[in-house]
Amino acid sequence: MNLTALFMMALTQGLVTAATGYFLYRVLSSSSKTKKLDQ
Amino acid sequence: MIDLNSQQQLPTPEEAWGSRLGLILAMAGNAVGLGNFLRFPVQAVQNGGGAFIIPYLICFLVMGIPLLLIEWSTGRYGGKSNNHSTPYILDSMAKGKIWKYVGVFGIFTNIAVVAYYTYIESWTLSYVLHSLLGTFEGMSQSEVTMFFDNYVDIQYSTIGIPYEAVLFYVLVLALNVFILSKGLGGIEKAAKIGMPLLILFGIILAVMGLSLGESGRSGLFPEASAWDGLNFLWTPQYDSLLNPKVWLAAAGQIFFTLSVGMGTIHCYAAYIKPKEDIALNSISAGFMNEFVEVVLGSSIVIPIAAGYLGLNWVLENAGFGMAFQTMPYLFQQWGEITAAFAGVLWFGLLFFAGITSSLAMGTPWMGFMKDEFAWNRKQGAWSFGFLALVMGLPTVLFYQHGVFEEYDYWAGTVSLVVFALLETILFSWIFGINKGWREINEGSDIKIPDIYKFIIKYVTPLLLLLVFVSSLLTPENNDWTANILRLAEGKSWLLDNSSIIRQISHHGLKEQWEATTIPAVKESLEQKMFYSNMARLLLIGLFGFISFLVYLSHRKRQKEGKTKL
Repeated sequence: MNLTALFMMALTQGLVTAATGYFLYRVLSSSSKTKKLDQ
Repeated sequence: MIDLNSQQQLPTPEEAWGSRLGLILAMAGNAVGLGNFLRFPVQAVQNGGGAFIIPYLICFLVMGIPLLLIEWSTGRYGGKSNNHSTPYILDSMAKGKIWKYVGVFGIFTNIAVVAYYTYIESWTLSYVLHSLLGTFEGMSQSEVTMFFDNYVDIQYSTIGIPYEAVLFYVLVLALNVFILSKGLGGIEKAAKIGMPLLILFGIILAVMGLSLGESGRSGLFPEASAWDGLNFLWTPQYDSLLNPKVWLAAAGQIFFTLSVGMGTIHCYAAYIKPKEDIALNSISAGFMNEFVEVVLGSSIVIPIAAGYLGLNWVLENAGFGMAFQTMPYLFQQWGEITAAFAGVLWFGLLFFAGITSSLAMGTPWMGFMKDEFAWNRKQGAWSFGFLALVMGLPTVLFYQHGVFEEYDYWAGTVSLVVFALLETILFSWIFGINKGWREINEGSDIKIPDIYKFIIKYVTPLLLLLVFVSSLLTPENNDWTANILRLAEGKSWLLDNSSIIRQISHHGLKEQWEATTIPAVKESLEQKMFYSNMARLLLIGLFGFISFLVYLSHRKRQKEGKTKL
């Protein structure tokens, strides 16, 4: 696999994975905060 | 405007989402569909490989996210006044009688699409069984293709079950109806099981695809290499960025992958609590869809196909059919047991992607019948199944006559763009962007950048208008540059046969009919035109039927004094 393609693939897939992980983390952390407040 | 029905009622307890994660998984499941694994890689291959991802991601930011925000906030706004389907959600947002009829699209599209979508879903379930039974063992590429052609010819039985395709179709439809009859709880449970399994199956297959390298070379395809497929998919061809066709393809892909313009997001969001976040939820669900598409979708079909058949074969044959006509053959190259395992993973993954989307398509009808005619969940689910069956049987019985394609084109493509364009204009310009912006940010767990207020008002409607006009007036050979130059020289605009205008008049089929002298071909084309027209009549009939129900419900609301003044 050529380096340009590898770089492009790693960059794009890395960014999308990181963004997905970040937003899901925000959802899960704010959900647990709400649960604590409810308790 | 006074809305007598907007008493800020909370949704009834049995029809509310059980958890936030469940809602996001159901929304992501709605968006993640067969297109994530089949349409995206093909679009990328056909539109400049690595460069495609640049307009694709830009369109996600300026069209995808805004449409998600619009539909989630519109849905939650409707839910506040106990409206759970687009006719009255849109009606509650503006003066005039027309919007409730525009909202008909949000029910019509779902019933028309689910009619053929569940048919594809049934193929995936059947192929899981065939993978386990080892049906594809020892078959050549052409035999696997022939197996599919035989399968969709309903008179043919592949393993001795009579009317196998019809049986699996009814089975899958019944499964959808059963889950829908359990209400949002059933949908949430299906998403909580289906989505993690889909991602797990996708990761395993992606690892298998990415690690294939050059080990799949054979005497027939000595140059085959998975790396070639990945190189083509990811090496940016920057000159394609100047081609309008690539941008339109990217906008189209973003549009279809997120399941916007259907009415399903509105319906799901209508069951969200009035002060609950929608900004973070919608972006999370959107990114989850992107993860499945960009990370998993690009790492399975193309590298595996290029790894065994070579890049040239992929470039010539890339298409939707690869999933059923090529993948089972490729899996056989891994040996008997791994082939069965990979087949179950691949078709299981497609099945989960399909069912989480088709379940979403049932909810707008059920929400509408419950709100307007007090139908319970079982009545709603079974009547939906009945409508889907009536609309779907012609696609099963006359698949080879083009009924399937006709539904997909008018209901699954054109209707979505029309509805999304109209709802965006309603949200930004009639309901008002200031009010809309407040809706988006109410109860929000994240701050949406203010630039999105501008994007939602100007950029998104403009892009949607471009997508619509470009579909209406697609230039010959999809060559925008040449046609724009022609216009500049004072010559006329040449339409492609794929443009909406030419599709209406069957221009392409008529051209083929005139060009051929073989009576059998002429007859086959005439049959295709006949069945296409029948399919169109069915679609128009369905739209008319739902519009009539909306009219009846409006009269009922008038009698009960529930209409807006």
